Amino acid sequence: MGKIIKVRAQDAEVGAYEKAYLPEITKGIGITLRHVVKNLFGGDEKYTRTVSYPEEKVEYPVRFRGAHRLTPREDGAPRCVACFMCSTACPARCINIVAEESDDPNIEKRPKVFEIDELKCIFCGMCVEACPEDAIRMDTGEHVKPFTNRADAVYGKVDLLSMLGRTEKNGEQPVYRGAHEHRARQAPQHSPEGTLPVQDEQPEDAH
Amino acid sequence: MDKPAPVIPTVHPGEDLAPDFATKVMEINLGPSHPAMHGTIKLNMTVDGETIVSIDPDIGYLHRGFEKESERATWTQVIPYTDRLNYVSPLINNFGYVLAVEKLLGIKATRRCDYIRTIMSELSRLSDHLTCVGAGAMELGSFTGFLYLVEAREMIWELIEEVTGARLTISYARVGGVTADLPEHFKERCEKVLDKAFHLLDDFQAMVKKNRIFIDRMDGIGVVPKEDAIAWGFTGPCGRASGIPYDVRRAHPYFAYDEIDFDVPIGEKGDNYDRYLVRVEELHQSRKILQQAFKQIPDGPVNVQDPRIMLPPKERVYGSIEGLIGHFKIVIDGIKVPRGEVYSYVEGGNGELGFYLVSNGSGHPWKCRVRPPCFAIMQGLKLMLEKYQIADMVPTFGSVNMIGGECDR
Amino acid sequence: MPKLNIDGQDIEVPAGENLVLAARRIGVEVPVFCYHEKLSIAANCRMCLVEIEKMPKLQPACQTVATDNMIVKTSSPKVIEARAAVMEFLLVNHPLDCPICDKAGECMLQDNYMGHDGKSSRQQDTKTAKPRLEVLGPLVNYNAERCIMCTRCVRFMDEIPKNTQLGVFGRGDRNVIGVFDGKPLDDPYSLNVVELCPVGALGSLDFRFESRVWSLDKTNSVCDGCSKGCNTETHSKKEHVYRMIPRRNDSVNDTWMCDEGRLSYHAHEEQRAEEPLTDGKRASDATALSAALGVLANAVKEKGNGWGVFISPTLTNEGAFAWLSYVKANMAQAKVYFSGRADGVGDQLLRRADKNPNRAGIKAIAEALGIPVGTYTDGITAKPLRVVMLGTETPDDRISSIVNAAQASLVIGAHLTQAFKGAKVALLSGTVFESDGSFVNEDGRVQRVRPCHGVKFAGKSYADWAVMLSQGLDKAVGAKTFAWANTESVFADLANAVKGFSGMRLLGLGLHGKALGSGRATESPSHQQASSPVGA
Repeated sequence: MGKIIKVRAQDAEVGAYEKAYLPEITKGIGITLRHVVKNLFGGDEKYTRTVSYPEEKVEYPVRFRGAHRLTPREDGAPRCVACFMCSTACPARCINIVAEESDDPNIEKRPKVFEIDELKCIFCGMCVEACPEDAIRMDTGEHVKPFTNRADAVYGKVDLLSMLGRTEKNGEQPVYRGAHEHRARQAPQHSPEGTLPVQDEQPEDAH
Repeated sequence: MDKPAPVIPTVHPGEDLAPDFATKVMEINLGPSHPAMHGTIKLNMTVDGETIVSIDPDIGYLHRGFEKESERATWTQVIPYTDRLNYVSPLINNFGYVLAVEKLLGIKATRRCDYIRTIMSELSRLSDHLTCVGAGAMELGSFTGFLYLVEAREMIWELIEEVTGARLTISYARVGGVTADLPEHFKERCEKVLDKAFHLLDDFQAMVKKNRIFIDRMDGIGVVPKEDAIAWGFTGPCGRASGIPYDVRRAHPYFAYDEIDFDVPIGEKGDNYDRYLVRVEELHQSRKILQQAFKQIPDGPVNVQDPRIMLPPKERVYGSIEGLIGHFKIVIDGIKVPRGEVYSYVEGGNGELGFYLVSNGSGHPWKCRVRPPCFAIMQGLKLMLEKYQIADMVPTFGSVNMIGGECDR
Repeated sequence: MPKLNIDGQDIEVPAGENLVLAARRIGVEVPVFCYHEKLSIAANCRMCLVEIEKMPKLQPACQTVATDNMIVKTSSPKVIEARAAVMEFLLVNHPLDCPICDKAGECMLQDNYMGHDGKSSRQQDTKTAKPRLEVLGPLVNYNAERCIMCTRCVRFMDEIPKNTQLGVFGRGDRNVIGVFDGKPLDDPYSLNVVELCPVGALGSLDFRFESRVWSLDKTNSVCDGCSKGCNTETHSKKEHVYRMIPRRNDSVNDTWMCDEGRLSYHAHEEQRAEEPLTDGKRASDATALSAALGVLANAVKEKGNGWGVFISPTLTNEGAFAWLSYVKANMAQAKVYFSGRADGVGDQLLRRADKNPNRAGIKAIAEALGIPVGTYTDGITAKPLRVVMLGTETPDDRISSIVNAAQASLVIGAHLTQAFKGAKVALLSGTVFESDGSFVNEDGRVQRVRPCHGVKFAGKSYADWAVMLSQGLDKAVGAKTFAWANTESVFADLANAVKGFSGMRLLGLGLHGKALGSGRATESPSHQQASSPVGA
């Protein structure tokens, strides 16, 4: 299947026509003039696309991996439960997490410190892939904002929570789904040491 | 083959070649940071007037320890490092690496995945050759042509960004598949882009291919005869320009290349003009491959569904303990690849891109060696540049397409 | 000795051995949950089912004793299917807790799923809900949803500390583990159940949420909490020590450790002296140097007459040997006493009343060097006016007050105690987490202590034999003394001088140590395993 092509045999001779400069020069100027005309008056058929940045901006595709954000629960707390999947998966080791006990016994664990050093980040998206709680996303559709010193590039929990995803910027309600939705049923029983209340009712929501 | 230039006798430093002119050879060095250098490389040249008497390339300025870093990373974490090898065709590096890991695991990707990988590899190859050809022309003065091809490359990168999420640091491949399927209506957008891109390429060709200045600087310069090319291990466009009819996609088909019909261009003289012509013809062949791949791509699952190899789909991770455990263990331990070693190779932008992997049974590679195609070609740089003039170094080095990331790793 | 065939290989095993251990001899690891080599057999998890010829149903390998001419298959299709089925049943009610469960990374459910299951869930129903955060005792919490009811914890409490504080309550899928009314899980060995638990049901409140286990560095060492010398694995990361868990040593501690020993890692960072002091004040290098020189020069001049040396039995053998050799050579008239931690509670299991790790070792060394070492008791009224104190652990205040009142004193230690602050010169040495060396436990076993890489203070403090070396003081005060290049060479000299150590090398102590007097003899009993804190 397929053959070998000898490229020199394909209209690649170097002869008298080529050695004379002018025919080619004229042809070349013709091409560039055509480009000029089309770029000025071509409308949608322009060869080059010039975007007057920053007044006009090009919309990034949906899958574009931009600055990170931590997704919020309804009460504004991060969905993150400090499971360390993202910091383990990160090839650049730029995520630093310290865990603590959560006030809400349904949630149990939450991050005390959650920092991403955006300078070290290589924007590969493996953290998003690794998160089992849909707690970190790179769907802000923005770049990391410019900064003047290195410390500003380390985004903490508050910075990461404050960013909005593209759906929110468009006014839509985002849907977050993670393993948390499976765990959140009713409050667990906390008993003083000794007694063991055992559930009689089964929870009613679907698994 | 014609030998283009007269033989110059060996010169000892300080020796006088033309006593009546009272000249000496001079040692100058080009690079490592130099606008005419593609990437960081130092060329130590000994010149007699304008003629290069001897040249000694110094590589390694972009050495970042890829192979050592891979030993620390899990099999999946190596993938972003492979993006940065040949950074103008990163998808080919990605897929070459995961193909090697899949061989060690003894699994085959799904057919749809093979086609997706073929399509993305060819898009990557298009961007690689457009860059090389365009930059080469720019160095000879054709800034306009360069910008035309850069526009074409931009459009292709936008396509790649739609699929992978980034233009260059894509990390798209995964062992056992890819991160995501092609988006909706990708075929139509791709065809529109290719039409425009090839229109620009035709304009570029029209300005450059028969241009006397271009031909004078490219034809007969940087000649590598076929026997020398084979001896130095040239593959890819440089090897094919010298007449070696070897293309990994044809000789050892992988992905979907066994079902796709395409031609392999070869040159005769092995000079810059041949390398240019071969690359442009490969652009056309890539388009042919893309058209066929889009037509033949089957429906079906994209990724291999083995929880010991791939992260489970998100519904399973969020909804079942089995999925969650599989997800956790792969992220924590990495994919457990059985002990063994493999050498797997694909056709990179510059030639045979090989990955020699050794596994000790754990989730981290024991060794991950890359066979960079342009490293072999850099060995032959002496052949291409000695006896020519300093000004010839610019188009020759451009046509070699040495990518620092790949050569130095 | 029954001869049987496992997976096509003929082997001969001791009488009474079960098939899990028999298979291990040929490198076949049968997956288990409820089986533990040191506990009684329960055979309730059914994970270790294997196929035995002539038996129609699969048999649990842990409960089946190897007999002659048995033909066992551990990976036939029936067995593989059975394992996947057992995993499926175990996972049916297991909550999606991996993100919040501390056991992730060392969980047998995770490992066995990946190794022996790999299938997706077929479950349509909801999972059972149970109490999720039961505090069973001061150190242990329990999550009933994660529990797979293997009863390892119950059997442990019954059989090892012989204190039945845990029991199984409820029936069917309402089963939970619990404590009895009014009696929390406060046994001094309670934290062992946390390692025994194959899943994350039982958790350590001390370690809860501190760190993920896969990023911890593991160092094999020995506990310095008492003279038993239980073998440990210290888990640290960067500068912190996160926990200590027991390591198997059949000659010392089986696979257990007491809670007090486990939690002794806190002493690494608590009340640490951070800098050398002179008279309680921070000393610059030059001043400390000259002050220490002055103190020791005095000692040497008087051959130790009127000097007291208090040596804490927490010193390593190498530190004790270095100092006692120095004392013998230069301070022969000094009186040497043991200081060290006060006695505590001992029991029949692992805890010993002597809370110092190396009394036996130092006694042996002192005897070999001909230095009598006494205990500073009420009967000794002489208060030395000049004191060298090695190790800041004291049983009570008397020794500290002697140091503080002394005309000249040199204290070498890790913790900022009264004595350290009151000394004329106080220099830093390291805790057991930064020390390389050896201890001899009360049974006469020489065991290796290894430093954790990069922990806090490592680099500021020095090995107890090297403190003088590091300050460059050795040259000023004593010929060749202290002039060793590394811990191995100190041990080599020690082995030459002390009879019980002869023939030993520090690097030859291995993971399980060597008995005093055993020289080059190998001593591992047949089942000695490499350290594996979780599982059988």
